[in-house]
Amino acid sequence: MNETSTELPEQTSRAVAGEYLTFTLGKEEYGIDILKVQEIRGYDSVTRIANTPEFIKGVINLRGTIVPIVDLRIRFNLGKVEYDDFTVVIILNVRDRVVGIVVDGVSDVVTLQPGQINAVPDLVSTIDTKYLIGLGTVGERMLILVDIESLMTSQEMALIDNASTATT
Amino acid sequence: MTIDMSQFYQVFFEESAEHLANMERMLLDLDVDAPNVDDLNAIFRAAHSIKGGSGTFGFTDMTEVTHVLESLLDKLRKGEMAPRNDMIDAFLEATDVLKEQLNAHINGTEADKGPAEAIIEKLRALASGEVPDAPAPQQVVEPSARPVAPAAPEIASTETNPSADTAKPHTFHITLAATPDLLKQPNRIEGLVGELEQLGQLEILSAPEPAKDKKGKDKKKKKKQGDMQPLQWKFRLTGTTEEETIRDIFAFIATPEQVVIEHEPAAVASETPSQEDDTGYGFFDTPPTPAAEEDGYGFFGPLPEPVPAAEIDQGYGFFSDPPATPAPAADDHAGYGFFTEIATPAPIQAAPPPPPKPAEPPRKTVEKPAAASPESTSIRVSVEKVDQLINLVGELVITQAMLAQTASKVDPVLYEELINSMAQLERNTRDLQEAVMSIRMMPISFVFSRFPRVVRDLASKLDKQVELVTVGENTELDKGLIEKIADPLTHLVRNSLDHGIEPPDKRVAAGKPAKGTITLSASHQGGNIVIEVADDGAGLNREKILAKAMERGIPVSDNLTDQQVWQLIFAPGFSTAETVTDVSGRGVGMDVVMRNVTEMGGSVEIESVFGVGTKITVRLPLTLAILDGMTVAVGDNIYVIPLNLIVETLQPQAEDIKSVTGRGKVVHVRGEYLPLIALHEIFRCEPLYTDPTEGVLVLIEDKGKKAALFIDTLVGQQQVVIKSLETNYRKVPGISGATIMGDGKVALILDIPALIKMSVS
Repeated sequence: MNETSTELPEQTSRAVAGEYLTFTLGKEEYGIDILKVQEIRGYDSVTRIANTPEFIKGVINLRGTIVPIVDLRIRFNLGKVEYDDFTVVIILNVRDRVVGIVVDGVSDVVTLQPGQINAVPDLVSTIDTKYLIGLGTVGERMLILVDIESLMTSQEMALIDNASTATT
Repeated sequence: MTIDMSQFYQVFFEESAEHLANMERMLLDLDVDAPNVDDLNAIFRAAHSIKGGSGTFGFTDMTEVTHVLESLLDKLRKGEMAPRNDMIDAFLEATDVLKEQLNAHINGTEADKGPAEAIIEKLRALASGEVPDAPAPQQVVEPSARPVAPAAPEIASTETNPSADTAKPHTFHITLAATPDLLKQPNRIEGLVGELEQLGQLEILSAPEPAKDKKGKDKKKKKKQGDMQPLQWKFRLTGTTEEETIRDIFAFIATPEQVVIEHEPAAVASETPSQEDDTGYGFFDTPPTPAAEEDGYGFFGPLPEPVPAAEIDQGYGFFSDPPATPAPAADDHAGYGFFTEIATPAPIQAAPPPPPKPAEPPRKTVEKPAAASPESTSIRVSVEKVDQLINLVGELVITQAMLAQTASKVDPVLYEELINSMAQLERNTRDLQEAVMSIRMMPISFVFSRFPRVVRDLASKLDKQVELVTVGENTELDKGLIEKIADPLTHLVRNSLDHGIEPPDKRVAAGKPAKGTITLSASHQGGNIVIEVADDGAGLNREKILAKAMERGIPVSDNLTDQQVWQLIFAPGFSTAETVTDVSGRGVGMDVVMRNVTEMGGSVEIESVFGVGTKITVRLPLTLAILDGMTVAVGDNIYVIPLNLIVETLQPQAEDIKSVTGRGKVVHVRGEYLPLIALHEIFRCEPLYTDPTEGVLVLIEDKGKKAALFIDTLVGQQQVVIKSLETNYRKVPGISGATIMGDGKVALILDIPALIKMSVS
């Protein structure tokens, strides 16, 4: 993908030092910009919406606001999709929209310096590498840093109207 | 003083816009031949408030215009001049200029100075030279030793006149006639006294007994003094202030007629306070400050008696009601050396006594003495706050429902009190919810109020005579709708005026009154609000429309019904007007009206009879936010169907269900075959029943098309708050929105028109 390679340098420059909320999907650890996170809550029953991709679980009532819930585990084929007491929903605030993502668990918040963030090598991934900021290193851990805002508003997620034609 | 004033700008902008709108409305309502003094006062107050605000914020251009405006208004409200139509026009023009200026300030720019200067000139001219009745007071001067009224043209010069001796204190005698309103609100008087004390040394010479304190003893005392004793406050104020400052203070609690301010030279201040009697005149060569009462009475009866008390008594003998003393005979500065300095121009207007109209019985205001400024009965709250409140109350209702569910599990005998309290909580929360919901509702007069002006301007432009009648201004609808309906309605009214109402000569020739009538009415009909724009004009011309349609290549046939023909005018670019004017005729309009109304979930209907008139009916849902819905279940999913689209519900017999070409199913209901839509098939969910005879059919109808929706069960009927799915998600086919149910879960609202369309395709 030409687009990916040309955007890479830009992405590394985006990977500024900052605080990242880390969560797990299956065995992988991910990090997202903490400033995009509105709150973290347990998984509650959702209202299913007909004729939507499988990873869109439905909508919930978040204090009077209707919020769509996306299960990233289904979206990225990671881990067993189970809903238990430990299943967590991270409520994100991206581009004035509120969206919830289901993850296996939230670990902690880490501060990354630019030196700790490496460029993403070209590889095959279920997430288009253009949505990855880089790979963060914290001790022995490797964090996959996701540009959650671009990802959630992308066509692939089918969360926004003009992206509704996209398929999974 | 580095306070950031900009934070208050918004409030000023909003308030000024409101004042301007009020002014405009009142000006249009004003009967020029018999002006209501209350209205004039209200207009004056509005102008005054804008002047004060703009002065505070340094918007001097607005201050200048309002200043001149106020001067002329002041003359009118004091009866020194009779309002004329050209004045009203000038006032309206001035409000336009002010609106321009206000908008400019809102956008952080400066308005064009030209119109402002022009209107200032115009108003000045009206207030002075041009006015034929201005010199009247002088000519008609009665023997009652009236001071020579300062000629109006002096206004300009005195404005700039530097003060000869500002510092010299003067003494004012202020008489404030009590109204029942004021008596009931002693705190307003207290506030007034407080303000006056700031200006100088204040003595309260007399005050009426507050009504509530009236005990038997007092009553007796009162009786002795005579029932004629008017209720009034008398103050003596010594200070360096100007009369106008005092007037300003009073302006907000009393009409000018209620307040009498008399000047008393400092030297006399030490004299007996009863200097207002005739002996006082001995001090002066020129007629002294005329006591207003005396002045006024001079016209109506015998000259005042020397004894002040008697004078008052007698005076009031003329008026059976609390006094509406003719406008204050404020001092004529020309007569007195020390009063030369008058900072604001208004006082000069205060100076000349009202033009005497001997034939006139006591002023009309006497009947309504309580013309004090109306208390503000509303507060300004941002819509976000209201919406937040609605959300919070929604949450509360949900919490209450959850509590109720928990409480229902306990033993009702052991926990009787708890159960009772829960019932009460439920009632209270429901009431609260209803009350909060009503905040968003506003009377449609907010929209209607703009039309008198539109009609007036347009009618004069088109040389037509039109009367606008509004009915049902108090009909309430959601604020969101109010904002959106304004433009379509304006289109309709303009259309009626331009195309509907004929010119006066044609009307007369057709045997109609020369003056056309446009009726704007609003009413509630079921779950809808119905707004009608009716005119008694020419009506739609069927042939002309058909001809035009053919010309434009719209397929039409001659045997269309009238309704179908009328619908043609909603086509984009359609116009039968022979000439395109700047008013209408371009053919943009009706299609926009149709589109806007449809977007709001409403409809437009036309009724027209050629030569008799046209009535356009706009139907809107009551609110955008709340929906009367039927909750239904399919499997474990709950859906909401808008109640107004449901015709009936039924359980079909097996023989009523037929299949067509092996695929689609129809149901036979009372002679009609309706397509059967199985909701679980469209939404791909697990239903309880797949056989329609086990479940329930909901007959739905939209725009004349019917269908039967197959669901599992009916759950209940309730009002739901509509939430948009698109705020955080996107449009979903077959779903128009979502709502939150009593248990906190989200239920989807079905998009019935879309479902019916789906069933057809």
